[in-house]
Amino acid sequence: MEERCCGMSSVNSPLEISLGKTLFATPVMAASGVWPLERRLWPVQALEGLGGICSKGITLLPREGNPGTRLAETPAGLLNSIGLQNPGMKVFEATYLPELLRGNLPLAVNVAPQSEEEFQELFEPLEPWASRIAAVELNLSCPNVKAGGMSWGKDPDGVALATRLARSCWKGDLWIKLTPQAPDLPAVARAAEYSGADALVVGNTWLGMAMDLQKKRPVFERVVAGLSGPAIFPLALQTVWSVAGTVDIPVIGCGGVQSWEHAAAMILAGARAVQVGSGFLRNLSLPKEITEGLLAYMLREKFGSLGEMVGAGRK
Amino acid sequence: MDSSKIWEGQGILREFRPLMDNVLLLEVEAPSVAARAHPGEFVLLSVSPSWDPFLHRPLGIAGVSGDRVVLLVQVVGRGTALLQTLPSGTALTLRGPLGQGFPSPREGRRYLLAAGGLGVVPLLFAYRQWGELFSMEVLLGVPDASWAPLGSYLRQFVPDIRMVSDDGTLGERGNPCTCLEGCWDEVWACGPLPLLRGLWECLPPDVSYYPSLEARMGCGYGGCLGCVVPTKEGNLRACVEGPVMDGRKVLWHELCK
Repeated sequence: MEERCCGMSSVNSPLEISLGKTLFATPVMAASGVWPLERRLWPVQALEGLGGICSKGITLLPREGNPGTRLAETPAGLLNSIGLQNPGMKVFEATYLPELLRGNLPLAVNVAPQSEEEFQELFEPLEPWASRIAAVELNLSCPNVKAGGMSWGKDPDGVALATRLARSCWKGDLWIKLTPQAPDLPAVARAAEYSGADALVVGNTWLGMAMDLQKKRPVFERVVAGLSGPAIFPLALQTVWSVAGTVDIPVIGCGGVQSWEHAAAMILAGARAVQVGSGFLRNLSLPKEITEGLLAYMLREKFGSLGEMVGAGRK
Repeated sequence: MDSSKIWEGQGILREFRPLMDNVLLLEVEAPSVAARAHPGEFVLLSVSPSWDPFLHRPLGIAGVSGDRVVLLVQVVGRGTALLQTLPSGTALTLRGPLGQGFPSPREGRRYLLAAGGLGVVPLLFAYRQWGELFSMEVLLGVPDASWAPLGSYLRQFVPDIRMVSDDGTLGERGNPCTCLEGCWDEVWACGPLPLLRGLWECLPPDVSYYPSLEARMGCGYGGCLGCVVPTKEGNLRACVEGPVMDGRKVLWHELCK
């Protein structure tokens, strides 16, 4: 087995699942945006049951992120307007990537190109690490930036173009992180599949906003923000169902997962893995609770492996 | 900050009483947090076992009593209001200790601990830990005499605390900026942003200034970048590089926009 085919659970655990060339010990990943780049800051409690990590969104140049208020609580959820604050690919590759890979957990590097011209330069520093990176997760869905992000992801032509460009720059596994804001999500998913994606991450936050009644203006400087948390779970589940019924490549569910039941529902709907984002803000033991819950459920419902459970709700 | 010392689990609400209108005193039994807490650090406390309200509340640590963490909470919104309804013995999810606290004090330096209102919380912990060992004075500004019960509580630990009030009904009239007296090598502060900025403006440049900054908080461990503070070194996380920061590096005009 290659070095990157590693994980934390025992060999041949029923929770093992393959995605492209990588075997994940569990189907629970940290979604992009909640996992610190610095290894010393990793919440160790969250490692138990965790199958993989997606890095913060990395852009070519450093970004300070958005000014002003960045978080606002909503009923059972959260609006965020972080704006891809990150040190830029050069510093990421030199400083943080080696640390992230030392974690012995499969790593997906989330990259967020801001223009067509940037792809080559953005992917190049990752090339020497290709054998150790589980996947590149192409962010076509960030709602909190002016250029790139969600503006690519809303229509099939934009997704096809971005996916083809990424495909030409990256020989390893390529995941496309889609936006639920796409008016025709199945069409967007097909466009990514035909253009060379190895898996689809469905999806990212939903567009929302909040109003400051005292100041009589929007809470966020960019007006809009991304909604996450268990409030969006039913919406996210529907998008997973819809995309998994449309494409043949693996689907990774992401959105509002806050319990093992949520993870089980997404897997039954067709997801091969799930990502946890805001869930970590409430519960660092979520990967442990999800994996324990899934194992008990699989035993009860007589699923011998996670693979058997993927899409079982569609039959 | 090193995240390996972060603990998350169930703390048991042991002591719970109103100190004054809208201010609660809580003691939460959480040995793992109590044993590791350093003045200036904070915890994230769940206010509901359900997913709504979603976020934990960041609360400064007022002290440690055996295996209990002492918290003073101002009831300002729905989340903190929910805390008022909880019976003693309730299990609450606690994450902590979090953040970068106050620098360890040094012999021969004179410290002023300046607070506005419940900003006194982390400074109380600092004084309880170091007040008898180092030269430390506490100056607290409050709106008016209705805050006297807080003063009575604090005097148990800080007998010579100096209190001032906006309307002059409790101690001298004024606030910690207008009532600064004495010579200090270092000022530690916590309270409303205008006070923290005011101190930065009026302190001589050779006085070290360490304010504890509040921010809307997400994860508390440096992952989400929801709590950043603009500084000369870029946007720094209040939960990792703070909440106590070098006040000379903070870009106050941007922070106070």
